[in-house]
Amino acid sequence: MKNYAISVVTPFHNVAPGYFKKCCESMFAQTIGFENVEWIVVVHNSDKQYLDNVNEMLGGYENVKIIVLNDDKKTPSSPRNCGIEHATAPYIGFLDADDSYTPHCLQKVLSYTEKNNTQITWFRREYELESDKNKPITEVVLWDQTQEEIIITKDNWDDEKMFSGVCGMVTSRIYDRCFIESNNIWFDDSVPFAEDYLFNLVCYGHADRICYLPQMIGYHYYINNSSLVQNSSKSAETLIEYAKGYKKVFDAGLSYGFSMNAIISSLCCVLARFMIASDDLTLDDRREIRDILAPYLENIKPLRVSKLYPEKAVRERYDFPRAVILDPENYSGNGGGDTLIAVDVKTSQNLSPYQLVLRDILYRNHDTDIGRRYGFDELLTLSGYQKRVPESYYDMYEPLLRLQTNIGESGIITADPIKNYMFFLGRMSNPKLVPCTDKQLEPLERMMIEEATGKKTFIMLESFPQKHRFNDNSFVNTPYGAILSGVFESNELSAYAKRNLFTSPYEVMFPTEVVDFTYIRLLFALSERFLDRIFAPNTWEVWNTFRFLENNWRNLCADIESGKPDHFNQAISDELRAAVEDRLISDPGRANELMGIFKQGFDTPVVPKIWRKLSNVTAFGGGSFSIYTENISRYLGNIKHCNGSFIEFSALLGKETEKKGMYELGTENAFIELVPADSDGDAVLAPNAEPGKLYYPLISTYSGLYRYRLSDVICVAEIKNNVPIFSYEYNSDQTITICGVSITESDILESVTALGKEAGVSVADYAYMENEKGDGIVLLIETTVDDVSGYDVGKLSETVDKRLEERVVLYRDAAASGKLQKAQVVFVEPESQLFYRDVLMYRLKFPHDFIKPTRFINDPVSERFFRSRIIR
Amino acid sequence: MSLLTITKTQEENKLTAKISGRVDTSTAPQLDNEVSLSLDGIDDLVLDFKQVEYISSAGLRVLVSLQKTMIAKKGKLTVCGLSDDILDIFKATGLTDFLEIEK
Repeated sequence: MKNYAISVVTPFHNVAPGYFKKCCESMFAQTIGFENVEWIVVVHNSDKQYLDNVNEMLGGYENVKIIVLNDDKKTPSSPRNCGIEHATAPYIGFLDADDSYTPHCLQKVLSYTEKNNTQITWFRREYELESDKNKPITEVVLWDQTQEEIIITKDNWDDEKMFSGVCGMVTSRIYDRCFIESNNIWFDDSVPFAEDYLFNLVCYGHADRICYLPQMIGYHYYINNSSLVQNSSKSAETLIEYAKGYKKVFDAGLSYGFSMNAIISSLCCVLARFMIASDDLTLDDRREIRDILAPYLENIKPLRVSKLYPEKAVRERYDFPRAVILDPENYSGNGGGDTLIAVDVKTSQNLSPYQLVLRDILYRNHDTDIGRRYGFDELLTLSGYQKRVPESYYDMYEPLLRLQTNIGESGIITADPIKNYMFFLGRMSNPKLVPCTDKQLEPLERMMIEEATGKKTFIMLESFPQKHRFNDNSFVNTPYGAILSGVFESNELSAYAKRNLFTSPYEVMFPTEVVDFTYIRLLFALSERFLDRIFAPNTWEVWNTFRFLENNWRNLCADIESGKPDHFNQAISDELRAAVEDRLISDPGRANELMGIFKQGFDTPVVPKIWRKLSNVTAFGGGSFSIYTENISRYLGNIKHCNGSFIEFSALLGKETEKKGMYELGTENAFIELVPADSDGDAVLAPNAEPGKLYYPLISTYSGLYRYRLSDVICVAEIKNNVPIFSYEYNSDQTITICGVSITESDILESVTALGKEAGVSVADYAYMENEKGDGIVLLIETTVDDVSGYDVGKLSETVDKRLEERVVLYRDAAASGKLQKAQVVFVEPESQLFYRDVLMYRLKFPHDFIKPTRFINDPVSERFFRSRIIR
Repeated sequence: MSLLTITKTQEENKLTAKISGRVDTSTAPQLDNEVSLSLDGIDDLVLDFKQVEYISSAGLRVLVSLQKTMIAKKGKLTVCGLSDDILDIFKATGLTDFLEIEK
């Protein structure tokens, strides 16, 4: 009989020829010499064609034993035992038929083993994924990897390093055969899962000397779809058998006095994820599993935070198996789309972005006052979150925000520091502070960088001057101002690239004073011949900018010619003026070119003539902004306009799809539920929304808003891949109720649009209010001309009434009964909306994009103002 | 033909602009340009409205803008000679809250 250096045992079960070929090649290539290896291939319960393939590939080799084993076992235990029985060499290794050894593996590992006289030698296992969908099972360790070899005896035993992470594999070890035989160690074929853990624990229980080779990569693990661990669909019977097998594993380790904390946590975590994915596990089954494993799980402690187990993994390995296995009544199984528990803590592959965002928000904020109050730690399902955490309104946050801004408190609603408070003025002077953290802004900044990179953008906004610091070290900003600021703080782009993204100079985008920069923005944008895109918060800003251009082009051209902002009449600091003068370059050629364009007039679209490369204008133009969206086409012509992202309270509610005005619900920085707008129904999870229905978004954000109801109303058009596609409809704060009849912003917009289409009124802006008796609606229409004497307001009022009666049933009924008076159309002076904005800006010291156009006039100040603007 | 006439007189750092006619959408830019570009070294601006027949929203916006400019220059803007009608408009729109008005 030949004296082989090592016996390699390969359990073979229906392995595809391609995989097995690689395995064979790796054996043939062993530097120790293939002929010096006794290879025992145990063909286990395999179909004939696979056996034929094995015979074809290995038949005739003297050192290869092909053994056929057919039994009723479904694990590699019985073929491995069979291999051990037939092994004759002094050492045994286990190689799976779809994996391979690296060429030097056996030679090197044997050399260390013989040199150190160890009973077990461990080496490293690299892995390769068959596809991106496979989950990596990596063998990261806590050993000192600067050492080539580490010899472990009973004197320097280290449970944490030996029994942490993926520590049960037999394939990345070789064993002294005499040691195995003399201690009568076998694979327990009644253990269906983690049988290798059991084998190793028994080996370790008997071993005196173990060699660890932290730098020696010897095993190549090919992770494919058929792997037992990868396949998470298990029957109830299988899972109960797993639990029984676990009991043997745990008992074995505990009987040797090993610290089993990590193994119990990790294996129970795997079982728990199988349990939540199982379709047929009954409550009785769960109770049976609990009864088997409770004695172990009840005694585990949280693992130590390490590179193997980051804080998140520590929590999940402790909480998750305990929640699922120990509480069968409450954790009723297949979480599916409702679960917040990641099957794989590292990749979270089983969770959708919708689930992940809530999971992450709760995890990040669990240690806040609000997180502790509502037990964020304990929430394992989306529905649990809905039941536990109530809907919230601004009034609930206001005192908490004041503690932050005035006292400097933190950790109340969000764990991360507040960077900015978004100041939402809405359409009335009723400002709201909305907290915003870096994490909240991150995806929005990334989107802005992606959209702007490689292009020159005319940006119609500025950051808010960071002058007043709150006591929690935060500042006020607008959403886009904060995003812009984040773009410039980001490391993704070089300083040069950042400065070349936008036409406005840095000093203008980040001013120290609130100034109306429309002139300066235009000055730099017009100087740029090769503009690619325009970005504005909304189409109102675009519309106003080009109206401003229409009135001021002579001055702008003169300043471009001279290279000096002589016609910019706003007071700015000397530093800012110097920066503007420094950046502005005299360009008489460009000035002449522009003069030529503008002298032709604005009756045909000027923008394509000004910037021939310009291909896109991004500005939110939905809902009541659509009046401006219509109007800007006068300047833009055929240049593509898109709405971009739909952002509210710094939450990305949706990204516009290819179809204009339709958005895909966002999952980047907010968890969004939907509350039916036309009934008193409870909030539904977004994937469960009904197409065709109107909803209020209910947002939960990283920055500390939980189930906060927005006043925007959206209409779900369809659910695509579990994600709602929706349109923006209206803001419910702008709904006017007269004599019990509610008329929404979109009802009124429809009537205003009809004035344009049916009566030829060139509507520049509009607002509405109750009549003086409170029994009818007054529509205030603004056109671009002072003289509106040619319009018959009586007829226009009829048009409005007709539209409202068509859209609002209650309006029609109330009008028919005489309860509601006829609508009244009046004209207000051109630029009245802008004048109102200017007054608010002056009083409140806010820049443009803090203030939205006034629609519903419902306070005495604005009513007095707009009444005074009516053309008599 | 412009319906607006602006006559400016300067005494040291005080500029008085007598405005005559209608300040509407078409003439407001003229008011803005003629006054705001004459403010070098001026910290006392007086707009005399005795001859103003009418001022629209566009014109009133110019006043807000000039007020901002003067405050930033640490100067002052005074509007004088307002008719009762125009004063009512100033009151209704809130301009009297922050503009200095002289009868």
